Amino acid sequence: MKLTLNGIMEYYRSHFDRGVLCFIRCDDCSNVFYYPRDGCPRCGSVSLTLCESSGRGTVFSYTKVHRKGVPDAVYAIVELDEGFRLYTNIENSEPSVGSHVEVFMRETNRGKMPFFRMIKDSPDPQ
Amino acid sequence: MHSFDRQLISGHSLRIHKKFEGSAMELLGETVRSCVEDSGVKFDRIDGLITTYLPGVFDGKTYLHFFTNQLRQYLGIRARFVECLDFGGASALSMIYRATKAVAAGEADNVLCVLGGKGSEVRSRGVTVDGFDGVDPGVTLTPFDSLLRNYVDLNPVSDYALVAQRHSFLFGTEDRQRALLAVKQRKNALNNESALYRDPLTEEAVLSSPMVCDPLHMLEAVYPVDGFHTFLVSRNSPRNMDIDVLAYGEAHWHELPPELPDIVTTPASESSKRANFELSKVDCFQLYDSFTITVMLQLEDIGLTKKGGAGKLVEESDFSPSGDIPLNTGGGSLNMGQPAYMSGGVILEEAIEQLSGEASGRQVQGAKVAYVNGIGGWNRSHSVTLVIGEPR
Repeated sequence: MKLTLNGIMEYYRSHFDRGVLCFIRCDDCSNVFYYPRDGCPRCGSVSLTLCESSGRGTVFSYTKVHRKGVPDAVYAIVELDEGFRLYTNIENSEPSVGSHVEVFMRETNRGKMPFFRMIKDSPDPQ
Repeated sequence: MHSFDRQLISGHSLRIHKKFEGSAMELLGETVRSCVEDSGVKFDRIDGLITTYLPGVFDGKTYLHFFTNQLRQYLGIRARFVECLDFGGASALSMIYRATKAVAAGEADNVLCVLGGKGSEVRSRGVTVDGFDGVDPGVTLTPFDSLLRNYVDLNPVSDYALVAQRHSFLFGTEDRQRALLAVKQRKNALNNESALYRDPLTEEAVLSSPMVCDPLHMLEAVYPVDGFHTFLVSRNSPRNMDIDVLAYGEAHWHELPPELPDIVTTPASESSKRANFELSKVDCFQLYDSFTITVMLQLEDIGLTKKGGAGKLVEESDFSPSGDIPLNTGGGSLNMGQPAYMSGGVILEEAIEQLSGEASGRQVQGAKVAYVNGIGGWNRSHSVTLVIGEPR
């Protein structure tokens, strides 16, 4: 059955509440993406499958944001092991490109949302 | 020399203030009147308008319903061709192209192109134009805001910082190479009476300016100011300048940056291919300079060097008006200021001044072809390549 945007968001939210990150896989072209659409942005197919992510990935790029009146924060793009990427913040860290990270959920004014932290004892990035 | 039976730029003007105390409409009116006077076209002969806007830059208002109506009501323009473009700073370059098309097609005789507003209205609210949803929940940035707007960012700076960081990781680009670009643009600004920043600048000063989003420092980023650029494109005006559109290309990408194959390539790689203009025939380059890294990405994407080669190119090239690659010859918006968070008018105006011999103190001798590239959107979704010069 074709996904609806409401259905996708319901799936995401219920998984976030259980600490699980999700993504969407296109059944026709195998494209994987995080930002919800009811059609594949690569091939247009509406044959899509909602999937659970391992929540583990690496830092694709990062920046430490210095804003007045707000503690410094690391803004980043993380690439999950399943191949999709998303924007996020990485907690209390001095990351490098390639650093290993894992998801955790934090309460925001939109409910629980995915944030990331460094995996301790992870191999050094290249 | 006058050109006839051609649709060309007949007038242009700019007004830039660090902070303008009056209304954006008033500053707009002043700029338009100056442009129309410059063109020699009678005001009531203006029958076309192309413009754009961003939230907040018109006196803090989030959304102006029927925007082109509001501008025409204020200015007094009865039109038969109106259009509101929607891709940030790059819109300025498309305005010129579309105006020439409209005039050529007989849809209008004199099309006014307007871009600007008041950056100070947004700045005073403690946000950037790309964080305006923080002060007005009616503003959305993407269809995915519920998953995107829960994080600490400082876009557009933070998004460009991600690109700069990755560019360094992949290609070994150094902070001092980006700083050197800022220094070279400042050198060009020293000879531009209109520039906001005209004190000599060193690499050390750039690198010791406050870090905004690492690796980008404050002196690598534009300062949002209040101002407008206006251009008039006319059919057969006696003051039409000998400036024609020689090549043109647009590219509008749909991916959010995390969804791109990589973030170090911009749609300029595609718009420049579409324009397909021989770079050796170009006399000056005016490339969108919201940040130092923005210019470096375009140096690569339009083909002046290979991907990853911008750092070395910056070190080895002379970007002055008499140099081997005259680049942002008026200092760019890094030194002019960025009116209403859009730099397109700044680079287009400099191109026109160079081609019309008006670039006093910084004239590229015999400039006949200017290559202008604009980038739009906090996430670099849009690129417009416009090559203008002596009609063929």
